[in-house]
Amino acid sequence: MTDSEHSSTLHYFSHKRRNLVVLFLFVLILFASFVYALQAGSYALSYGHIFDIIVQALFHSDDSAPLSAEQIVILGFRLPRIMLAILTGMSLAVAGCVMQALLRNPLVSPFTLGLSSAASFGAAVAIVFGAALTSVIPILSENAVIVGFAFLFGWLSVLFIYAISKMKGSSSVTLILSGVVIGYIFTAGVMVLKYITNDEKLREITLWLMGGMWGANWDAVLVVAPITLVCLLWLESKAWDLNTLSAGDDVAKNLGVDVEWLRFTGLFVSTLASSACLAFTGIIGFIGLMAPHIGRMLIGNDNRYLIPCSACIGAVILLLSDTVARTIFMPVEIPVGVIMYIIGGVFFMFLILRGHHRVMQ
Amino acid sequence: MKEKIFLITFSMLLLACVGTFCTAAAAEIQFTDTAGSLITLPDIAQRVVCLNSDAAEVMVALGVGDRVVGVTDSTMRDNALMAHLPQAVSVGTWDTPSLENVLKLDPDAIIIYSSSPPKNVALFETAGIKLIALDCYRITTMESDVAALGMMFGAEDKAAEYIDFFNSWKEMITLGVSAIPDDEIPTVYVEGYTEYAAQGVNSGIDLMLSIAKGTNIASELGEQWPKVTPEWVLMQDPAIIIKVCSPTDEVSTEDVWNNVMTREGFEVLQAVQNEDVFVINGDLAYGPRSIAGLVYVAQALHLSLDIDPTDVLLEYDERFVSGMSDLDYFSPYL
Repeated sequence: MTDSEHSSTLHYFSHKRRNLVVLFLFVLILFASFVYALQAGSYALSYGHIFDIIVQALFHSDDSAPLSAEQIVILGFRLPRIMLAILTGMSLAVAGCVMQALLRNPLVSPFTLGLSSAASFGAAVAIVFGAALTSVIPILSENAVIVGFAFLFGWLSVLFIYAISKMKGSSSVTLILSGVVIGYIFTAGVMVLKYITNDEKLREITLWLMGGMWGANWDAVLVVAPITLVCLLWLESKAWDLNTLSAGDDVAKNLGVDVEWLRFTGLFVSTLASSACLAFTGIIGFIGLMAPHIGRMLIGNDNRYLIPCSACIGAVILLLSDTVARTIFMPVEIPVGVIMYIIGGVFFMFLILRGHHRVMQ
Repeated sequence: MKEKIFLITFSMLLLACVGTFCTAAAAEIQFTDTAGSLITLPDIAQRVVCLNSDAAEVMVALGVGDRVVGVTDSTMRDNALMAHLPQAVSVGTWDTPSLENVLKLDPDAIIIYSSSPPKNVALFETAGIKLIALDCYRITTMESDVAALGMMFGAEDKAAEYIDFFNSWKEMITLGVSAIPDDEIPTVYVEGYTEYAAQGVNSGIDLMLSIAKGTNIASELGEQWPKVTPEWVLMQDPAIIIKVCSPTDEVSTEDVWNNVMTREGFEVLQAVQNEDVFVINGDLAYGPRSIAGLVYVAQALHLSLDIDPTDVLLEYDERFVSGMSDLDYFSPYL
């Protein structure tokens, strides 16, 4: 081994160790955020009491005994909400990270590509016309229809973006502008639905569009958790391929990567993960943009580390934002979407001022 | 002689002028709207556009429903009310009604909600159309609003009859709860149409609670419609839960009651354990039928009162607006 090779190897392992340390730190931060969120709320409970409740639920569960108010607060309200926030944060962050890698554009995310607006439209269609569908096909639940429609329209928007990206002469700006256009079109669709629907459904759509963890319960977590985890593992398994893609399509092809298939399946899985969450939480913006960027600043472009790191960062951002949303004006809560727009807007501005606008050229 | 003829002619002309002036002054209508503005109309209103469905219903109660020439899309969907508004056509949505549609109807005035005027209100003002804010939805301003509408349409007698009907039931409640000591006033969680959207200070049911002696746990939060956390409701453990809803053909007030009773986490609340959960149609929380809502709320809070809200609705149906007594108003029946 030459000195140069030896130095590169040392640098690789040092970089790897550093990445693992950063990852470990983020896992710790996520855990600390989880503990904090579990304790924060209008129903005052000590950490010791919360610990007892969880231990009892895990190891001494007695299904016949009625739950106390404290147990319901922790096990029925806070825990599923925290789990949904973590899963949604992870999904949106990883979806953003993978979409950025697949389209080689650091400004794309489920939000900027118009996927969120499209999924909103799908969910709004399901809210307005879902009852008719479930009466025709009784095995479909209302939630399943919302998830299905959110995914369907989310996927349509991504296919459109994909087609644009394949057009000759398309640039990063074209993609972002296409996302904006898609956003406008589907937002117009939502407005039409809001206009024609009745008051009850209008309230439901409005609440959904504001974005929030109000719909959190164990049923939602049980739907979202497997979809998110399978999607994240699959996307992580493609991290090497995504790394090769960063060198360009030709290099990736030469290295044996089926670029078209990777793009298609990668976008499909990312859309599925984010749509499944958005169907329960409503529109949550900017996570898919912020988390991968913060991850890149700390850990670099290696998707093997960037994907899990983005997942942790996304989970931490959304979990803390949601905790602030439900505690800042306790016991009144505000939509987490409001906080995400503020943080996201400031972050976007930070990126522009820091010179990241070069990527748009 | 000539002088006499001139004097008589002059006197007659003078009398004629004074008479005309007096007639005009007598025909002029003046009243104060909900917003506190003094409204002057040249004459009794004959054609109005009602962007406020509660005011439209009061007009029916006053026997002048045929003078409503325009309503909003949402009012058009209210079949029970529309049966009494034979001349009414749609002028668009409540927040952005079509100026052209309104102009086509040539109304004497437009009646709006004081707290929710249309977004294009300036357009109507520019077009010279009189906008009158008459809420007719808060129980606290109902009397003055109905009296104003009575003057506006020359239906003062019918307005007085409604006010008498309204006040007699209200007094019955006030009298019934007057002996209840402060330490027996129950705490109440009032939830609006969506989950955990509490009805706070000055909301419809909050105003009723202040008359019927109930403590609204959300009134201290300062907002009219605070979105509260589920755990806060558990912490407050209210003695009574009142849920406001809009029943449909698919979802009845009884379905809503079952949903509240089986809502995750609510099993620990004393209100649920004691089945002190009451669901009320939003039509009884606001508007001219809210007096029946007040009776229902008072009865829910203090079962010893023994007043039947259905009696109020039947009387309202018989004396003011027919077809309004057999709708799905509350659950459980008291």
